[in-house]
Amino acid sequence: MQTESLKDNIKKQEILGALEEGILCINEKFEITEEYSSSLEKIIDQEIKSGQTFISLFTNRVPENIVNNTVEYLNLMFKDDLDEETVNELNPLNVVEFHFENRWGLWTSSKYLRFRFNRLLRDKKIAGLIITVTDITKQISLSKKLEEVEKETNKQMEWLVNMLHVEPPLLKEFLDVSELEMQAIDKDLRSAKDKEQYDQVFNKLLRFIHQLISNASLLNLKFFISKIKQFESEVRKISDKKEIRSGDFVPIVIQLSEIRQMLQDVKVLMNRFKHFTESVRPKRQFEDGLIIRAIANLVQNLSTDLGKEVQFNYTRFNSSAIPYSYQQVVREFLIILVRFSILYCFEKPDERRSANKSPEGTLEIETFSTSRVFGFKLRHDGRLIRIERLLQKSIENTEAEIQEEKHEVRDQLGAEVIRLLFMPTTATTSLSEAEYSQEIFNDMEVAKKKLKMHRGKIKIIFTSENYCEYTISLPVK
Amino acid sequence: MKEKVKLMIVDDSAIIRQAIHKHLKDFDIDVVGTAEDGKVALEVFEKTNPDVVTLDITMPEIDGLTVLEEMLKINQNVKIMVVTALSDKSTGLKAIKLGAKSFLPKPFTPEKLRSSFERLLD
Amino acid sequence: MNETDLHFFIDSTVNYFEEVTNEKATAGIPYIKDNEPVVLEYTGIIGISGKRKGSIYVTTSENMLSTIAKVILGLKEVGKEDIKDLVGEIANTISGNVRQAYGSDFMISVPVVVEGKAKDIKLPDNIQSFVIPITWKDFKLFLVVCLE
Repeated sequence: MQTESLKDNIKKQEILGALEEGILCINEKFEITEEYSSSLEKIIDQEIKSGQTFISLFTNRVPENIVNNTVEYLNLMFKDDLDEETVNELNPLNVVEFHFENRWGLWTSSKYLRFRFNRLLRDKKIAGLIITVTDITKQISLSKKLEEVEKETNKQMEWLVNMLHVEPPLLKEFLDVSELEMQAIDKDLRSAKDKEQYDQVFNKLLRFIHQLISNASLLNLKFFISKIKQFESEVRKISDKKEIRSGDFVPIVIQLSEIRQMLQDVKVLMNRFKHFTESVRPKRQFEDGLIIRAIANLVQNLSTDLGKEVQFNYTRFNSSAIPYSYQQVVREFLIILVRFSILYCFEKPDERRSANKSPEGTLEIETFSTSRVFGFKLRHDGRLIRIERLLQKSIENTEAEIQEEKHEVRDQLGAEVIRLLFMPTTATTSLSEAEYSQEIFNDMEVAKKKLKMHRGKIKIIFTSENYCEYTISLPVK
Repeated sequence: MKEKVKLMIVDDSAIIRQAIHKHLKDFDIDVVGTAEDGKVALEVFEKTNPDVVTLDITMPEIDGLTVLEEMLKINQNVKIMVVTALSDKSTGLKAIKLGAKSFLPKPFTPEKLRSSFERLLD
Repeated sequence: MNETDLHFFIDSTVNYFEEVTNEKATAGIPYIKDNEPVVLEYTGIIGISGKRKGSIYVTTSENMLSTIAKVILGLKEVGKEDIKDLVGEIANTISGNVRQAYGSDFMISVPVVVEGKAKDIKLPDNIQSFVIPITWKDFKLFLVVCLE
């Protein structure tokens, strides 16, 4: 191609406004010659200066290794003895991400450009290269976007299927409570500076994890539970270290950010389907039933997990009687006691049979209220193995003699049982129960504090073999 | 009498320019020029014709590697020590390939600067 | 951002202080930046492009910068301009040093320095930012990393 005719051609086409591609020519020193189209400056967002080298267009715009490869490639393009098409196979600028910065040198955007090179011959010698530049951002972005959308859609579909069975108010509450807890953890992480404070952070983290697992289990959010369990093992790995440094918290911080992102994504997904959830918005009566459904889910999931059979009876539990201010604490206590009962008290069907019991255990809850008190009861027909062991331990420690009564314990003994029940320890749990044990005692610690805060009371009546009843009463404000 | 070594210091950070000057003052040098960007560096270089240049890479206007090439085109005998925070191997290798005689990563201690400079003068 | 990314930045910052001042700095537990502004008296911002995109900034007090500047220059007094210059240089050095891990595809801009307590430094909304608190002597510095 002759250079003069090319220059004319560029001008003509520009006049016609038909040239969308950028066109330029370079000499053997890689300098840009006079012939270039104004659309080139628009595409690369740079003003071309006379004598400027082609390579300088790439400074701070593409990674250095691509620039280096381009220099090598151009050298080859100017070698007469090399076949043009073969060399063109090596074009490093076939698709290149071009970066743009603002006046502060901060990255603002990127474009995908395609550079094509052709030799300009004069007297059968290579006089220069003609280069066409095309902006292919739209095509590339579209295919990238499609890829991302597909990935995102798959993830969201999985979550959505998992979320569909969850009542929207419960999901919203779960997200809000989790977010608040995360903020509190964040605050603690920021202020922790020494071993003592690190230990406190670990305790809070584990408590937070258990609460999350517990809440997510109630809603059966499997995708979330598996993420949290992964986080838990990371936290345990680090907290078990003999010497902990601030840098050890890095994986925790990263995973916390991922969990936060996950919660955020779930929230976005929930809001996107708001019109859908609103159309099926539960009525008050329905909302009242949610607590029962959640507990029923828990009974079902946990007993299946542990190979136990439990029948859940809630006919005498009136959710609408729970004062608004106590809804949270009642639910928390119910969860704790249900978990405790299934985990430690109910025997497996075979054991129950050999103890002349029905293979299926019974768990019953009921509410009661007077003008001064609101309360609820939970009773079951499991054994109080843990309490027996703890009492034994307590007797050994104090050398005190405590006589167990067959049907109802004396007040003093009841108080001791409650104290022991809420004493954090894992010493009496078997291996299969281990993963539940720590969290339940952490939860109990918290619940005990909350109960105290509300000036509530707990009473327990039990026999070691087949009866246990907890009564929680809260003053009506 | 032996002539003093003419040194030029190029860095967009004033504090680094001052620090290099201070830590090298015990050498028999004469700081003939300083520059805060690549463009000024080339102008000062042409005017002062230094024997040795300490040269930063990340700078406004023209980057250090381009300045390095241009300086060597003007005077191929100039000894250039690249002093940069860009600590990846490829930047160091590229600088040396282009003709730099020494490469000192930032941050540097006065001792490291002096020993690099000493080796450069040898 | 992953664990390794965050470690690169922590190591690079701690190393800066040790090398320049011969005194160790300690990194606190990093945290995710929320809406609360993280801006002290002087801030040096670096734009990142190439394979990774985003920005990082260091922000600290005049007292800290003047103490470091005095160490670097071996002077009893330093001017405001030196202090301003130094915060940009710290940002530049920390981000330049992480190229050791990322390679030359990690492109860094020249620093932009903001003087005075700005409302906050604008960072991309769609990327989580991490704050790394650094303590040197009794001074505080925050490194904020926002990378895609």
